[in-house]
Amino acid sequence: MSIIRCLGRDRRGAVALMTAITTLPLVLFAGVAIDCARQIELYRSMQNSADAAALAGATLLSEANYADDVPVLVNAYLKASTAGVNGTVTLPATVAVTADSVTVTVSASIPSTLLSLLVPRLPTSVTAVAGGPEATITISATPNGTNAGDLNTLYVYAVKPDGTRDVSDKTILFNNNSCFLQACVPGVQVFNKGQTYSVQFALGLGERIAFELDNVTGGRSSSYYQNSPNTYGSMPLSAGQAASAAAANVYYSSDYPATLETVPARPAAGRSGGYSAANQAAMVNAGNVNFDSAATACYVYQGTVVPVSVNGPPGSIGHIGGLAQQQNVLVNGHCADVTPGSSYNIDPTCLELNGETLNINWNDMGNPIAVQGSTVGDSDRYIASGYNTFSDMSYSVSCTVDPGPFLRVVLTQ
Amino acid sequence: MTGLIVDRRGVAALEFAIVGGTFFLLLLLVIQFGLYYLQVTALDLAVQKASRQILINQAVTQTQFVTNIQADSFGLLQSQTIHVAVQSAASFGAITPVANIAAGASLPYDTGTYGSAVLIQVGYTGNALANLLSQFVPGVSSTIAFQREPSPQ
Amino acid sequence: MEFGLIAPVLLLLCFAIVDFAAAVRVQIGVDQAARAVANLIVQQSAVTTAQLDDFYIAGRDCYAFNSGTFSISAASVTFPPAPSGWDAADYSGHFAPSPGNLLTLSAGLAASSGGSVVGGDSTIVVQARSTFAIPLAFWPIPSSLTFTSTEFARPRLSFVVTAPN
Repeated sequence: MSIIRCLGRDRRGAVALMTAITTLPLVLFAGVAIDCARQIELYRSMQNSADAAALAGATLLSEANYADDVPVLVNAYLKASTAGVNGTVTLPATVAVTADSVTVTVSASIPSTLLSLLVPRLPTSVTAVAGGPEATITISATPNGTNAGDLNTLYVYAVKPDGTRDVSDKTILFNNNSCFLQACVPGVQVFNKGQTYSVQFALGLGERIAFELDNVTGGRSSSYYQNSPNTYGSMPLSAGQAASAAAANVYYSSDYPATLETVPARPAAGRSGGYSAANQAAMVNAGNVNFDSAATACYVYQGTVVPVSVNGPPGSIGHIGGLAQQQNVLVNGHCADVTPGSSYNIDPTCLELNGETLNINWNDMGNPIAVQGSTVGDSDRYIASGYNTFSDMSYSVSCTVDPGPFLRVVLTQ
Repeated sequence: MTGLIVDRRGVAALEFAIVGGTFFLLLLLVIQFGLYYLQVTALDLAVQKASRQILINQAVTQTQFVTNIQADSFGLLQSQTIHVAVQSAASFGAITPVANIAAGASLPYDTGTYGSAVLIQVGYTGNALANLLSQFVPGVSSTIAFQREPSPQ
Repeated sequence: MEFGLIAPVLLLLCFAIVDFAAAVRVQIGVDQAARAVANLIVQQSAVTTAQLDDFYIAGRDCYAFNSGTFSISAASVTFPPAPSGWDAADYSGHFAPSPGNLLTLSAGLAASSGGSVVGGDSTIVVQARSTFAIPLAFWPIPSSLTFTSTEFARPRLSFVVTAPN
């Protein structure tokens, strides 16, 4: 009897022991579940707050003093939107500001409930990145085009942040098919020479402004220099020579240096071409020289930019083995570059432009570098007064960011 | 006495089975809840991102929209069970939300034009918790409303 | 016998988890509603009463639950010149709320510490609120809960979004 009672007592103890063993993990498990859920909810609401604060900060990027103002604004938004958090939010938060992005990193913690003995507080940290603003550029164009024979059409397109061209939604600006000189072509945008025309083009985040010039030699005149085998121009029709189809050449301002061309063989007779050292010396306008190497020479003489020819005799600045890179575009009267922040940047972002106006002039390169018997220039003349070599297309560009019609800010992370 | 001991052992085992069963149910529910919560949050984020394409006047087809959502959902959602309804009008008052996004019947897809009010409803029918306990737990879904940007000119 | 006490507790925990899932989904719905309305307002430079009512409809569509009461309110808050920064008492216009719940702005705004917001700057505050009936409500789980979401957004087109009132 006593043995049985002993056994019974043992069993009762076993039940109590089993109870104790199983309830503790259960409570812990429930605690983990509840506190994990609370921590995730904290993360979600903090992320919401950080997103709103980053977007608010990004709308301030177009202002002059954004580097100082953005962190203050972001922290004010964070303070307001996290007021309902039942815990501690670490303010001021870390705010990193660049010209086109705002990065907000903020952390918070709430006290735990069931797990309070093991883990007293539940921390979380969130990051939000907002970019912007996207913008619209306004281009006021004054078609020029002193070359009566060539048809020049100008487009604006965007260059993506990775440097690739995006001509899929390029927008025509104007061509020089002035109604003054010949009948307007139905369906083709026509602009009067000298009349200012404005167009808006939407730019995405980090995208750069760029221009495409389509030149068709003799595109407006059926008899003018129709034999145009290459970029650097064509030969005039010889007596009895039939005109062939006009050659079309396309220039992209984002190709820097502009216009990498391989010059094909030319007839030797009458093509002296190029600029000898002596010619160059004569052409250089003291104090107004701007070239760093023969490959990218672009210098100014008497107010006219002088490009480099590739056909120069050995020893001349132009003779570099048949390959030439030439700038055929000016920005604000200077040879264009692609240096961010430079006043002569042909491909700025809207924020780099920062409300300034770019004055742009193109040389459509539609004519021979040299004609028979002469040593320099021709109709697209590089020298001599009275000729505006780089006035084949002239226009100005400004960029509207604040308060533009589309002030887009976007979360990028 | 021997009979009592046997009874007690049986009772303990039965009670342990009940508690163990409930414990197992709890475990299952917690895991399913975690999945539910993650899916709802992921869907919220993915729909916001995908909707922006329409907001800035990009052309997006219904299948592309679904693909975008699935791609942005961290692998938590499967394409075949994502249902999208897009409606647009001049004002939100003129739009009647689709009553049951999971119904699977042909859902409208009209992204409107520049400046339109747009309502996008996205439902996900692949969540077990929401499907089994649909009376208590709302479906994994996300609704977003916005106005398309005005025309460039 | 001790196990008999644990089983109901576990069952209650199961109910609590299901209710929590529903609550989380409703909270997200309220957040989406406030966010949608805030983004709609800040993309205007001025709003009419009719526009605001339409935006509130958009918010209601985002909330997307039939049960429970739902309301949205919006306000434009303009800041006084530096250095006072945010102040709950300074708001230039309180948009018509729908359907009648006033914003509790004082709960959300507080004076900023360190630095100040530019005077004349403004923000849009949108508050969405919903009272939702909890599906599996057994003591001690409450039978209904109120969910609130307050969204702050900065106007995109102008310093202040103006409204009639």
